[in-house]
Amino acid sequence: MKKKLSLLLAMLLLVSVLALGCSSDTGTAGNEGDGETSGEKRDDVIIYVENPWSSLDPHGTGATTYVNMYLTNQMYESLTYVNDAGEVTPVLAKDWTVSDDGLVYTFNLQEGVKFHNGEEMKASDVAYSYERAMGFPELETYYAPIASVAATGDYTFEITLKYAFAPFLTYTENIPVVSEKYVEEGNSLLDTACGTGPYQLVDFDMNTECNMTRFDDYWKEPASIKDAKFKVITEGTTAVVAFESGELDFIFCFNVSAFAPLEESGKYNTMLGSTYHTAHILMNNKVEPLDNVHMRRALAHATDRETMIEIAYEGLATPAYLMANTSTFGVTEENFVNAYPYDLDLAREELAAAGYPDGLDLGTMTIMGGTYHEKYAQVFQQSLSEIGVTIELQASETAVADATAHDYTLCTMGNGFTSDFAYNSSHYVPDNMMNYDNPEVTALFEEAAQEQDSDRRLELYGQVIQIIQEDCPNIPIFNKQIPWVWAKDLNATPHINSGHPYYVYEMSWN
Amino acid sequence: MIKYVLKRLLLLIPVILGVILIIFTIMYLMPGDPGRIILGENASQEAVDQKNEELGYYDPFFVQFFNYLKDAITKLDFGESYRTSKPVFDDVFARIPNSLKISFNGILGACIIGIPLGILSAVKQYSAVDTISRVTAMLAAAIPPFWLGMMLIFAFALKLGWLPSSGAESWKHFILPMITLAIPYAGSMLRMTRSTMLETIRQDYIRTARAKGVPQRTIVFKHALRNALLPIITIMATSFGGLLGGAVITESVFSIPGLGTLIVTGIRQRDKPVVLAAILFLAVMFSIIMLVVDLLYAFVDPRIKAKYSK
Repeated sequence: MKKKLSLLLAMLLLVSVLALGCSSDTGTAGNEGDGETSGEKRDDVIIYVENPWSSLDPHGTGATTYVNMYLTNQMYESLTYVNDAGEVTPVLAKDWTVSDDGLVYTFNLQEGVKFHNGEEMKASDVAYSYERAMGFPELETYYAPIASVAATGDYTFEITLKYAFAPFLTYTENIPVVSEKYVEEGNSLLDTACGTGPYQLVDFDMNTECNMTRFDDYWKEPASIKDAKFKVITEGTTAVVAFESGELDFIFCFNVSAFAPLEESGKYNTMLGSTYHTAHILMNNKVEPLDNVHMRRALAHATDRETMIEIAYEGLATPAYLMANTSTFGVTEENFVNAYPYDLDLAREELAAAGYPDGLDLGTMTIMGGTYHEKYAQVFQQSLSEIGVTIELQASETAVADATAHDYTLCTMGNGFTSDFAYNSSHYVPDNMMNYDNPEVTALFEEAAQEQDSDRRLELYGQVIQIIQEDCPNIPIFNKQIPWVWAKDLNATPHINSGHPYYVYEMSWN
Repeated sequence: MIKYVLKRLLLLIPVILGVILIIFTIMYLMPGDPGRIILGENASQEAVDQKNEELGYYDPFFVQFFNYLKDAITKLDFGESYRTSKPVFDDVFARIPNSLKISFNGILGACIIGIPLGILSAVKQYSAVDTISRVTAMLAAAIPPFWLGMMLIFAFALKLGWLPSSGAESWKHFILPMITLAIPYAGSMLRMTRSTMLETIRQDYIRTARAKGVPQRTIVFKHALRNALLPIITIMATSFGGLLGGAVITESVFSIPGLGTLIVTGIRQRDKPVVLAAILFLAVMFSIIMLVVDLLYAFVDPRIKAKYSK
C-alpha cells in the first residue's frame, strides 16, 4: 500500500515537473525601476494592450477594433492622416486635388516607398487596397461614398465618388495600403502583415503578445526604437502593477481610478487625453411623453453633469453638450454650450409646460450594465426624483440592440465621433437610435456634406447644432478622457483620435 | 476490472451529451446576433443579415443543435470564433496546457501543504500545532483567490520584484498563480485529512496495533493514513474540478492565456462558439478526471476492486 501511495505521489510530481518543464525560461524583459536606473539607452519598448486581438488585417475586422488598430497603425499607412487639430495631413499621398463638383479626388503618391517585402509601392497597390477594402462590410461607412477607384499612373491615384461628400478626405485615413503582390501570393493578412509602415511584424500570438521590429527601408527617417512588444493583460489592475514593477513601459486605457496615484507619485509621464467618445442619455422621441419637447427639456435641466462625472468617472471626464467636442469640425467654442444648465426649478417649469406639473412615472430606463453608465444613471434617477419624476433602472446586455430597434423609453449609451460633425448625421438623421426626425436637420446635414466651401459648411453645422439644441433629442453627458502613463525616460505622443492613439514611431528613449 | 472501466467510459457519453445540450441552450438564449458581432457597428444591416444566414443563425434551435453536434462529432469542428474567424478547436487546444499546468501545480501545492499538516494536526490533536493549523486552514479556505492573487502580485512583483506579475512565458510566471490556487485548497485539504485521520486513529485496529507495540510512525503512515486516503483522494479530485473552474479567476488576475481567460473574453465579446467549446472541454476534462479517480478508488480500496473482479 505504501508503495502504491508513493507511486501515486511520484506520478503527480512527475506530471507537474513535466508541465513546468514544458515552458522555457525566457526571463523577463523590463525597464527595472522605470527609468530610475540610468544604464545604457534602451532600444525596445513594451506596450500594454487591454484585450486580445482578433486580426491583423487592416481592412477586415482588424480595421474596426481598437486593439487591432494599435498594431496595424505601426505597420500600415494610409494616404492621409487626420491630426489632433482635425486637419487632413499627407502620408502616402504627397498632395491631392479635388474636382470642382467635389466628385473626383486625384492623389499624387510618394515615390520610393517600400513595402516590408521589398516591393515598391505603386498606384496599383493603392487601387488594389481600396478595392480589397470595399469587399469588407466592416469598413462600409468609409467606402460608402466611393463609386470607383483607378490607378491613373505609377504614382497617381483617383477616387470618384457617387455624390459630393465634403468630409470624404478624412475617411481616406481609414483605408490602409497593402502590397498587392504580397496578398496575391496567397499570404494571409489575418496573422501576417506587409505594409509600408515604420515597423514590421516579427511574431504575433492573438492572445498574448505581438513583436515588431524597425523597418530599415522605411521611406522616412527610420524609427528610434528598434523593438516593440505589445502585451495583452486583460486585468486592468494587473497591468498597472506590471507597469509599476517595470514589466511595461507604456500603458493607457486602464481603470481611471488607478490614474491619480500614478500621477501623484511623480515617477512617470502622465496625461489625461480626450477621446472621440460621448456618454449620453437617449430619449425615445416617438414615445409618449418624451415626444413632447418640454418633457425632454425638463429631463435635460435635471441633468447634473458635474456630479455624474464625479461619481461615474472619478471626475476625469469633460462635460459634453453635443455628441462631439470642440476639436470636431463644425463645433466651435460658441456653439459648444450648455443649453440646459442643471436647474431643478427650470426643470419643473418645463415639466409643467409638458402638462405634468406634479411629475410622473417614466417607467424603465435601460442601462448598459456593469460600466460607468450605471453610475451616472443613478445620479440622473436621484435628480429626477426631486422634480417628481420616477424611473426604474434596468441593466441590460442588449442595450445597443434595444436602442437600435427603438425598444426603450430612456437608455444610457456611449458613442464615438470623428473629427467632422458630418458623422453626427448618424445620430440625428433618421433612422437613428433616438427616433429623432427633423426634416430641416436632415436637409442641412445633406447640404453641409456636399458643400465644398468650408466656411459655408461651418455655418450650416452651426445651424444644425442650434436646431438640435432646441429640439433636445438626447442628453450628452460627458466626453470621457483616457489616462495615459509611460516611463519617465520615454518620449511619447498620445493622440486624441481613438483609433490612432499612439505611434511607436514617435517614441524614443532619453 | 476492464468491465468496470468500460462501463464508466460508456457512461461518459450521455454525460457529455447532456453537458453540450445545457451549454448550447444557455448560449442559444444569450442575446446578440453573430453577424453584428463579427462585422461591427459600421456594417449595413443587409451585410449582417447575410452573415447571419450563412452561419445558420435563423435556423430553428434543434436544427442548429444537431448541426453543431454533427460537426463536433464527425469532424471535430466546433465552429469558428466570431472574434478571430479561426477554428475554435485550435484556440481551445492551444490553451489547455496552460490551464492544466496551473491546476496540476495548484493541486500539488495543496497536497504538499495540506496533507502533512493535516496528519500532524490529527496526531497531535488539541496541541498548539493543531490549533494553529486549524485556524490557518480556516483562514486559507476563506481567502478569495482574486484578492490573494492581487496581494501576492503586490508583494512579490511590485514590492520585492522577485517574480513577474503576469503572463505565462517561463516557469517563474507560474509560481504566483500556483500559490494563489494552492492556498485555499490546502486549507480544505488540511481539514479533510485531519478529520478522516482522527476517525481512523480511533478505530479498534489502531488501538490493537498500539497495544502490540507497533511504532507510532508505522501506525500513522501504514495503518491510519492508508485508510484515511479514500476521502482525501475524493476531495483531491473534486478540488481539481474546482481548480479548473477557479482558474478562470486566477488566470484573469495573472493574465495567463488559458481556458479561463478564453471563457472570460469570450463572454465579454459574446463569442459563443468559443465559450461553448471551452466550457465543453472543461466538462469533458472534469468527467475524465472523475473517472480516473474512481479507478484510483478501486486501486486503493481492495473492497471495490474485489467487487468488480468477479
